[in-house]
Amino acid sequence: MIEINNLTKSYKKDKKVIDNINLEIRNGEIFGFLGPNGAGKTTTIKMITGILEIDSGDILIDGRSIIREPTIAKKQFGLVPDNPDIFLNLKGIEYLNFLADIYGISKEKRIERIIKFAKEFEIENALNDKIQSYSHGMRQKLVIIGVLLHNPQNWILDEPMTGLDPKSSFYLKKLMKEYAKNGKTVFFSTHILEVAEKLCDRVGIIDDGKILFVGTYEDMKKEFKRNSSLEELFMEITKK
Amino acid sequence: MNKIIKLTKIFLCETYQKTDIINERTGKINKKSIFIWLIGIIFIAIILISQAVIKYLVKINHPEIFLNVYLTFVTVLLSFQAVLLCVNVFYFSKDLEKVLHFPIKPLELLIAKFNCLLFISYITELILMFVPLILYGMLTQVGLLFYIYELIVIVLLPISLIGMISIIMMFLMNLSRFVKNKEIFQIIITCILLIIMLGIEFIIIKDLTKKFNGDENNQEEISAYIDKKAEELTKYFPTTKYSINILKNSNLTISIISLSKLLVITMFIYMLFALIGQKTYLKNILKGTRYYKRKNKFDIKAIKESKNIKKIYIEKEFKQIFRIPAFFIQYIFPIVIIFVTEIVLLIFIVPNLNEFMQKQGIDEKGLINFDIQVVCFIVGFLQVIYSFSNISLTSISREGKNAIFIKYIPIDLYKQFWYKSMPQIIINFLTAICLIIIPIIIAKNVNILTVLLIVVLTFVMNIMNSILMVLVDLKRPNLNWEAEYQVIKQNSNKIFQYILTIIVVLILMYGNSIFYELNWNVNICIVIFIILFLTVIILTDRYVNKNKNKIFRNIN
Repeated sequence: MIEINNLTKSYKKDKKVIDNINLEIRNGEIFGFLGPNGAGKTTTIKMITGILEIDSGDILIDGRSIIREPTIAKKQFGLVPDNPDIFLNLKGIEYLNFLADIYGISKEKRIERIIKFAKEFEIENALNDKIQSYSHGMRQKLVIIGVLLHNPQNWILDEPMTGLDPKSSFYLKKLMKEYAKNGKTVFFSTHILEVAEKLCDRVGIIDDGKILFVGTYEDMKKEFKRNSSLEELFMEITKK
Repeated sequence: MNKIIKLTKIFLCETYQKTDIINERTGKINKKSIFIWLIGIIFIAIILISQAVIKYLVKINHPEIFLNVYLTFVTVLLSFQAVLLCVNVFYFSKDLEKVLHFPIKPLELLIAKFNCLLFISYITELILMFVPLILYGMLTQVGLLFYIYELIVIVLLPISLIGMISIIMMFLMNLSRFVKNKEIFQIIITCILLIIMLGIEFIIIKDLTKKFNGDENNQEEISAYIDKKAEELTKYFPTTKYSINILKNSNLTISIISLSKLLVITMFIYMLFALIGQKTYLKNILKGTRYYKRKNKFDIKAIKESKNIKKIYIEKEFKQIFRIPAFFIQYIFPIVIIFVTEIVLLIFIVPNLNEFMQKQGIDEKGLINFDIQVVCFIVGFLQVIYSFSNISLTSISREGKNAIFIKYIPIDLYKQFWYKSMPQIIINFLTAICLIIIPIIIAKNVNILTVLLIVVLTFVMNIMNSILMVLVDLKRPNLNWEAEYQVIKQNSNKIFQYILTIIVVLILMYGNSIFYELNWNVNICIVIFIILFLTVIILTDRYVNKNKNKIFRNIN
């Protein structure tokens, strides 16, 4: 479970990029974080994951504060960043071994998981190559596998579908559903509203650093008294 | 033509992005840029030194020595720079990927890249050559023609140098298509070229100092000898020879003939470069493009487990340093040069020194007594060597946009700070040990305790250097680079390394004078230095541990 309490962040003194937001992403749900460019999605994700310092408020990951107990809190989640260009000079398998070592995954488990996911994402023949030789999609797949290796309780993904081929995209969505079904949390940001509409149990819409809406798609329709698509409702909510 | 100029500008911007030399808002020179200050200091130092040297040479009626020696020196320097620039601009930069899809002819790309190299060399010449040669003209009271010749030489000299080095590099890099691991091959080629340059420099120094054993008392004789030798040495660089002949300006016919020869050679090399470049460069680059897919069968044995986080983290750092050619060339190669120089010193200098000592009847204890002065000199020298190492100074910057990884993995930031410091500590420790061996060999009777204390002192200084530079990089990281070579080339943090070296050397000098006066036991003096530097380490360690979140704030 991820709890965001009164979170605020400013880059400049007078301009709050995140303005006192509160969110609760429960166990067993897929939560879609939506918003236009520059709304504060990535900034929020960076604060949840400890990349960015928090000005005020707190974030608890499975009850552990990212401010007070960062190392323990970081063990509770796996992050798929928006840019998968990571450790390009390492071989795919070296990267996975490195991550598995950091998260203390036993040899048996890592063998089982690497083989399973590499096969599903169809990159088993590339694992012996350096990551720099991978296409964008392949790098994205590798980063996803890296996260799945330690089977975190909370899965945080920043624009995960970018660059994935239809087959991998389908498989990723299936994995996200399975994850949530097993009582785990999936928190992801996306621009693809069709994906959010079909996949998410709840969505949160952020604009100008403020949460404009949190709830299910059905709640949204009820609130705006319209039986429109998520895309149309999104346009309505973020209209200035 | 217009297209080439625009392309050159693009490549130059890519090469010099992030140096802050030009203020982006005003378009004027940024007076706050550390680079500007660094260039200014070098510029003034060169003017002052060359003025003093020329004045002295005028006094002894041999001003032409300046032209012979200084131009040879600048040529060697330009050649070194050309090797590194060639590999960076032609092979390690990623700007080509951005322009290859435009309707640009290969020749235009090639010339734009060449212009980029040329422009950088002109800046070097402007700093090193322009004013010293004007000073030469003023102090030797030559005519206006000299200054016109000076401009011609400055314009023409780097063209042939860059052309030749580019041709050799392209030819050798072309062989990489037969090699599976292209990056390692590129590293080897660059290293070979740099070693060749170093070899030439070594020959030059050896030639200049040969027979010059201190017997000569007559300054004029010595000067005439150096002049003659320097003139002979220009055989390695024919264009430099012609440039010197032009500038000497003693005979108009000789100057014009030399100028014609220089022009013909320059044009020939330039045309040869264009021809070979068109045939090899772009084809090679396109073949070596990194977006390929190999079908290597995955072996389950490659899945390994390690429980030692520290070990795997440091291993990852070393993989990064050794596998990325630009990092290897800039981090490891200077140390290799130091090792090679040391071996040369051990083979050639030490036996001669021993012989000299025996001839001069110097006491059996050896030339070096490990008193506080010698210790301070050795340790100070090592500090200078440490300042060549950029591993810690770029420990965060070299991660580029990946650096956020440091923040979200479940490893304490304080621990990561120390892991990041380790590669430089390990590499510099090896360098230090190898360098300490020389004085120990020269000084025959050495107190073991003194040697051990020196080793401890250098180790403590090594740790201090490394952690302070990681701290500097954390405070001022350069994460938005496109190509790896920019991590070091455009790192203005280097000035902090120089400042630290100056401070340490001043502490050693000051300590030396105090301890020498007090006539204290050398071991006690070393221990005091150890305590001093250890205090810096402890304070830095506490500061990092207390403020880790604040220190890592710039990674986001």
